[in-house]
Amino acid sequence: MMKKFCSKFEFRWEYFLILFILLEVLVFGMMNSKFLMPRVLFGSFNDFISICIIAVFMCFVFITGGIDLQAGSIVGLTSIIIGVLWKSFEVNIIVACLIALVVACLCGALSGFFIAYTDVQPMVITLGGSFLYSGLAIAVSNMSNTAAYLGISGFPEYFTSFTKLRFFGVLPAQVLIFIALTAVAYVILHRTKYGRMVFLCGINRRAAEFSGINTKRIILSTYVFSGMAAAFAGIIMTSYLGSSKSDFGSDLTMPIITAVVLGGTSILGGKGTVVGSALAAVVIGIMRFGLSMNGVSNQYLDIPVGIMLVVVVAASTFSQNEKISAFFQRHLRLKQKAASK
Amino acid sequence: MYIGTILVMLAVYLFVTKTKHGKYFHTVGDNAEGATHLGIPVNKTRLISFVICAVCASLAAVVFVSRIGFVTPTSGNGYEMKAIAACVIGGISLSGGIGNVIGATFGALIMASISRILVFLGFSSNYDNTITGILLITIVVFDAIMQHRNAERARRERLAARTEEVVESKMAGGNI
Repeated sequence: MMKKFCSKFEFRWEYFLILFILLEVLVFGMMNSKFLMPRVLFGSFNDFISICIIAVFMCFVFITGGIDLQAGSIVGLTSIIIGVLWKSFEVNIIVACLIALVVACLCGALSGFFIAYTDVQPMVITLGGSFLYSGLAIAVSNMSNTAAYLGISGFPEYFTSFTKLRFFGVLPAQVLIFIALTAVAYVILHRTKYGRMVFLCGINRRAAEFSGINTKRIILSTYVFSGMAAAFAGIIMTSYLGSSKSDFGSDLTMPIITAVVLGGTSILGGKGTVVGSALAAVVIGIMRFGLSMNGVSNQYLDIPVGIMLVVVVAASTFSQNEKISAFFQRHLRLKQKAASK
Repeated sequence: MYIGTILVMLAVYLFVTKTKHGKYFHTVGDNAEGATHLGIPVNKTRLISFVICAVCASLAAVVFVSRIGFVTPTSGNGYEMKAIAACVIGGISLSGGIGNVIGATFGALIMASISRILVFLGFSSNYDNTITGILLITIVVFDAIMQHRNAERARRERLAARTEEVVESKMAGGNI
């Protein structure tokens, strides 16, 4: 009976991540009972919502075998564009958000174009892109007459209040946006023809090319998605903090990549799920929040996340290594033989 | 201190180009499987490369501390990106096997001096990152296009040579 159940129950990385989140909540809840208050627990999402949103869409880039280091600087660019357009050019804030979204997509498309059409390593181009867009953000911030380090604030009430909205008194609007975006990404990647093409590009680009897929366009589009997610994160961040600064998101690059890799997406491409990335981002966020709530200093928060990442990557590589798995199987069989004798 | 930097650079340069173990690095980067067949300890070489990188980082830390005289645990954050950019500008391929230490040094010089040069040219320092980014992307894309073109030309030449051979052998009346 048990065996039947086990064989039906296919182990998936997502289950482990859900288990890990529950374990985290349990452990931190035991250490600090305030942690379990739904208001606090869901409120903590505000701190890492941008990581979650970007990680979900950056998963696309990783599946095609690329890497995106520029999302963090696009967050700052979107934020400052909204601020400058609203303050200095007196554009309606919603129109400003839309313009920022378009600009972010164009930024993603520019990098994606170079990556797809000139065959340069994505890492270099997006690194250059991260310099370029963070520089552009500073340049844009100079177009307004406020100092860059002060940021632009004083947004209208309806713009800043939508991220402070809480459904049923606990669930912030950002979480719902995040869930909605995850659902959209899930449908795009796992339920459409386009998603299958993305996977095939990552598994074997040449095969994809021969089967009539325009791989260049597919790869370009993944970077557009990533830039779009960064724009969403920038809009939410601007709205939540009530001010726009050009250096928002400059420290997000590494956490996002950590989240995507922890979510079971292969850096080499061809493997990964949207749900895994989303859950992994939540795992990292809750771990950082829980540790800091239990009095761990801010400087040490990277240590557990780093250890987790290295262990996960090493373990997943080990489990895929044929020699090692063969060794374990042989070992187990010997043990079974010894037991049966 | 500059002399010290140059000495470190020279030491690494000589190690990579003149010693047997140093040449392993290029070999492993160019073709890891081939290196294995040649009997080169691939994994050990990779391990040593990371160790050398860490040692250089610690040397940089010594210089940093002695110059700034003020330390926080997070100082040096973000240097890794600039270091990678410097290597790329210096002509080192990210896929491995191409590049040398001198190139990396000049790449680092360019990366570090961009902001100063811009100030001398009368630009605002606000455009610092923008110009670094544009420079990086331009150099890399230009390099990739040139490489692609060279590869294509080499392929064409090979093809032309082969067809010539075939024509000659046919003219001579022999079998190919």
